Amino acid sequence: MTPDSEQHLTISVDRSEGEVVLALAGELDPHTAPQLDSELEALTGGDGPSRVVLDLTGMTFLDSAGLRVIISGQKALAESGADLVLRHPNDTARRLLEITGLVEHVTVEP
Amino acid sequence: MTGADTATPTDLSADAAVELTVPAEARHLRLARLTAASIAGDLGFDLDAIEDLRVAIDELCAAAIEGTSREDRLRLRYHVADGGIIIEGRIPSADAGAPDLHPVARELLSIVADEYSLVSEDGARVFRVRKRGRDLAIDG
Repeated sequence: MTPDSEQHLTISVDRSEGEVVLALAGELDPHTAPQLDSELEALTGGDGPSRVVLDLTGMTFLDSAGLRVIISGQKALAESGADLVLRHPNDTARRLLEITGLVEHVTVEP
Repeated sequence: MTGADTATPTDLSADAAVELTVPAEARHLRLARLTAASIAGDLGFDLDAIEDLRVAIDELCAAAIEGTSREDRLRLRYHVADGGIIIEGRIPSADAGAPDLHPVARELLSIVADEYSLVSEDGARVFRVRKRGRDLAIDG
């Protein structure tokens, strides 16, 4: 699924036992970060999955607004006993994750 | 844009500025990024430098529009000088107060921009960022 010109970011949700994969397609910026924030918030709590994967294969832009949502999501999920995994970040995203030290707090799958 | 009849990687001279005015809303940040990437590509910036510039202009625009009203306009001017691309932004809003950069944004900008500033000036929010392309000899 790709984002349309209005939506800027599309998040596809794939649920399996104990795991939820959120596949991002488009740009994660101050306009779209609240979308991801809402999706992650819905996964925290007692009935949430034990593992949440953000599939970044289709993500074409990431900035500090997106990073802050990922950071807060990781903290909230950890408090719920769940792990956050970042899958397939592109080179630019990986670099930003390294600059901010986020790679030390989440699992990054190449 | 003017003066771009014979496009070569480095012929966007200092007086060939590109100007963009958009509503001061987050949904329009992509236009600021797209314009920056387009100009940097024309100048022969490599992909890493283009990505850096996209992040830099995004962070400064995002901080500048924070707390502004729907009626406010973000005015951007892109030009080549001092051996790189310079982007200047202004929101002539007297009500928005002083802009502030989140620590994460400040951390990113310290890496992706060669030089930047974001201030409140004469009732306006004003920023400037400079990015040099690697191994480019840009006159301006």
